[in-house]
Amino acid sequence: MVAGGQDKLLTQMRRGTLEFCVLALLREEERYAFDLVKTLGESDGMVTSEGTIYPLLSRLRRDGLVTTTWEESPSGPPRRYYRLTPKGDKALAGFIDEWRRFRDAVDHFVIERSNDGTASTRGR
Amino acid sequence: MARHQPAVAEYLRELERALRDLQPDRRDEIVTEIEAHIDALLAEHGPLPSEADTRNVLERVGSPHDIAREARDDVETVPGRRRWTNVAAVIALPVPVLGWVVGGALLWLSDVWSTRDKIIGTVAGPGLFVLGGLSFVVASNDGRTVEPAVADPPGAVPDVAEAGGVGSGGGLGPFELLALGLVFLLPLATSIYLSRKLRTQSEREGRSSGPGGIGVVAVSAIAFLVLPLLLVVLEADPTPAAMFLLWGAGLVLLWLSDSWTTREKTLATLIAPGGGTLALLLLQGTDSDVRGLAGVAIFAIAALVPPIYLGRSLLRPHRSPGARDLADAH
Repeated sequence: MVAGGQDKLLTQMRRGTLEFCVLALLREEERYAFDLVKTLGESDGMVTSEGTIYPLLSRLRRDGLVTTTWEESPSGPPRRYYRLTPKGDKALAGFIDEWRRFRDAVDHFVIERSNDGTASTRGR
Repeated sequence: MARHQPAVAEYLRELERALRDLQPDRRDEIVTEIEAHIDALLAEHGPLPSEADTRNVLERVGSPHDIAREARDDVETVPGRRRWTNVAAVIALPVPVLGWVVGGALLWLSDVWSTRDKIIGTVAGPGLFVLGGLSFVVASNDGRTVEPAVADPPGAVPDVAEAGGVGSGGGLGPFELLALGLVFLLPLATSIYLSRKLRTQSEREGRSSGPGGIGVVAVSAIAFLVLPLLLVVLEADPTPAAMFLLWGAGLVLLWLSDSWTTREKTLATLIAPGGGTLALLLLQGTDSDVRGLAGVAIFAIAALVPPIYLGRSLLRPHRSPGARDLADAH
């Protein structure tokens, strides 16, 4: 199958990494979904359809990487708060190691080095 | 939650439909959370968000189709069973009586096909089959006097010769040919149609597309061997001409399909028509019980083994390369 353009590429890259961005956001504090989505949305290119985060959260919960608790909200209905579990913490740590290695390996191939040794991306 | 504007209500309905093959508690969880998300987004636009605001919000949330695909990627749907029953429906439909009942039930229980397709499948498959069968009965009653064109071995017992003797196909009039066409080709065409729909639908929903349409139809064509077998066992006229027609169609489709390896194709080719022909030769003009019995036995093997064999390898999971494998990292 030939890669179907930029959109598809982004979708595929996001698919493998987004869940760990979610886990990373929960490392410091528990959050509710709306807040998570907003934070992710502020980072360019991470989330295009906000709704797609919910199946992901549901999966993380079922896999035991996060737990949820219902908490009253100052306004409106109660909210479901997500918190990282020890298992989630471990998965995140594992990913971070892998990710560094992977990123470096990709960089090694796709980034051109100029004569003075600084890296620059191709085609910019 | 509060009652929604029509656009939001419609969106949520569509979302539920898109998620229908998830387990119910999971579907409810996702729908409830997204509903809350929409409400929270709408609340940012004050108590009475305009239609444009609502449209914007729904756009941000994303299409139900995308959300469903995301939910499906972590496979906890029941795709195996679902896909299997759909394939079974397509295979079963052309097979008389039992196939109609089973295939029809599976067809109507499935949510892959539209009502229109289901009606087409029911009428054009079994419906026309019945019609064709009736006209064939009428036709062969008219044409009873036609003698087999192939010279039977001397000493053939008359009634056996009759049972196996329409072999050459030379005695078929235009009416009979038409009836044959109706009986055998239309249900096949219907299966092709339904399996194509099945395939496009699967692709649209982002599932692995499953067995190729041609493959499914090839299996059902070869499965048709069950029918002549039934006729032989019932000592009715086995109409070898029709059988050869089906083998031909089934084999062409089999070799056109990319669902099987060459080895599988060769095996199926040898077993089905090969065994069937051998059985026919044994049955033709014999007065020996042993030979007759052996013929029927070989026929049974030739009729039953290839569809089962091909069907099994058709259903073995094979993933389309590259599609979503990046996601399987952890």
